[in-house]
Amino acid sequence: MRRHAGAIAALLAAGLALLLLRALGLAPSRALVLLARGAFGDAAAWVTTLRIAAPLALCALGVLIAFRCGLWNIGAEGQLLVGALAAVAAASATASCTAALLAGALAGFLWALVPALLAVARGVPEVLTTLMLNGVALELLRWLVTGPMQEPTRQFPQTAPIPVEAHLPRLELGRTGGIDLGLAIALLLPIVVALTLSRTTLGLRLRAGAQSPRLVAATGWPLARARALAFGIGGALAGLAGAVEVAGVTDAVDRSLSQGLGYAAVAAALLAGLKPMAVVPAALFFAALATGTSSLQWEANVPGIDRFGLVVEGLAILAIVAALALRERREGNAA
Amino acid sequence: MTDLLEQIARLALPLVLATLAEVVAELGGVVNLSLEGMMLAGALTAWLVAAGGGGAALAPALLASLAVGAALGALLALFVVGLRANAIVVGTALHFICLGATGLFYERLKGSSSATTFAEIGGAASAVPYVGTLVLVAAIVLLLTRTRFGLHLRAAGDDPAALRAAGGSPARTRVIGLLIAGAIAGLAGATLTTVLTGTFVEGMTGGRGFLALGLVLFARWNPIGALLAGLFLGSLFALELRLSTRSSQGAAPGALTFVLRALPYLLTITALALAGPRKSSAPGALGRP
Repeated sequence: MRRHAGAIAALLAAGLALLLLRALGLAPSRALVLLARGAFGDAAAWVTTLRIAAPLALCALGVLIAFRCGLWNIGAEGQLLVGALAAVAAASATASCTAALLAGALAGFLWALVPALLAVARGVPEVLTTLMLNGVALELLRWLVTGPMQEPTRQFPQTAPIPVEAHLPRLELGRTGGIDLGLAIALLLPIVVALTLSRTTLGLRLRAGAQSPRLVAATGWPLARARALAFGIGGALAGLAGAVEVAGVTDAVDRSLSQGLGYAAVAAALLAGLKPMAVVPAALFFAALATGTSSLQWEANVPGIDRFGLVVEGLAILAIVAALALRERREGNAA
Repeated sequence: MTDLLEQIARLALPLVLATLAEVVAELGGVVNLSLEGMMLAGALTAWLVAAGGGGAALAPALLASLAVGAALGALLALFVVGLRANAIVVGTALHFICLGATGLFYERLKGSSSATTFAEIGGAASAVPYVGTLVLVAAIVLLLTRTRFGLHLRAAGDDPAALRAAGGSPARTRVIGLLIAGAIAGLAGATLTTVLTGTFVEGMTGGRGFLALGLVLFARWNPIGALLAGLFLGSLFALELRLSTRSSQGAAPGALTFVLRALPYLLTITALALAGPRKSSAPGALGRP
């Protein structure tokens, strides 16, 4: 019984989710079929799912790096938003997608550096500062898209679309909208991060930030430097996700840009067990949930069901937490 | 002038209660990151109970939101105290669940009848939420300073080992603290539907719960401080509301609205930066098992 705590917790979360579906008047078996079809049913569904999964994986990777170094980054949402805004500005100025991606990453890096430096230099809890900066980023976006960065006709609360030359290279697939370079970036960077963490001195320093802070000092680096760098890299990845979203999918920034991707990233990073390679399937899972539920909304006529993904994100985190806690307790008892 | 004061009081109400909820939770040593979600759940519950029922349905509506908030507090306690899980992770998860579930129900129920607000009943009833909040603040002050439980709660947040040595139970104390905190958070949400608007809108808390996490610092983990901090931010909201009404007529620049809206967040960050780590008034064992 106790050995299967993790599986039991996961089943419990799934059971609760299905109960909720039933309460909404949807037979669980039918719901599952419709969910799967909505997320992976045809090429267009795949493309939509992958387009959500790519920025989500990047954000989750960013959250994960900070976690692995012993800091809590709840600020991927804000870092993504400023990354997207910077990418629009850079793309409009240079008409180059490389500039857009670099600007996005740089903006995310700088935005994350504020809570990182406050945390390492002054001991300010980064959970609070990143949360607050999410609020600031959202207000900044709302102001910019109705003020200095608003589209020229000044009718809609959004920026002007970026020049076509700044779009990410895209592989056209029939009438599906196609797959852009963002997906390749989202598949490549987890490998880079995994290798960096496991094979390099930098990775050792970053990992030691959480596991054995004294070891960082032994490698000749102050702990503060390792943690600030990890946090900054995390912010850069979330900012890059914002740039990928703009240059690959939306072409412009409006108020509905992120829809909580940066928060979902926390769930994805935890579901991935803080392992870089595992963020890809974890992000795919949550992205599939998002596209699946939003198609369920129309297919089965269940208004609001697209919010179901958030509930499952929460339940999944609770299930993982319960499984980890029970395992720890069991190991504690065994010792 | 009375108009402005009334507006400030109305906008401050949910902030005062939310901050009070967080003060109680953090005094016991647990950060409640799902405050925003608990408020949403309280707001939806109050609306569901009160909608179409007139003034008579308001009391049951508030009681229901207290109960839902307490239930969510119990869930938080189950994981954080019972399983010794990280409060940040559990709070984030609970927030997702509340945000998703309230959005889901909102989509299915929107367009239903609205609830009667306290102000619509008029007369003495319109003062009930404000007087009630003052009484609640006073009650929490008494609870914390004059009762054994209050002493235990502060010990559980400051120095659990000492509490254990004195024969108390940090775990049980924290669970009760989170039940109270959750109930007050639910009530804070209920004021959005029964005092401010009369209806529920998805995400209507608009970050108030997150802001309250910062207001706790300004309140210095003190119920009276929660009252003052809430009133301060309420004034800022009232100011911003008046300016944005004028700016839609082309008088005030959008940049000013942005500054006023971002100000609460920026002030919190500044206060945190100036205070540095774990200032004297913060519970000593905040965030530690």
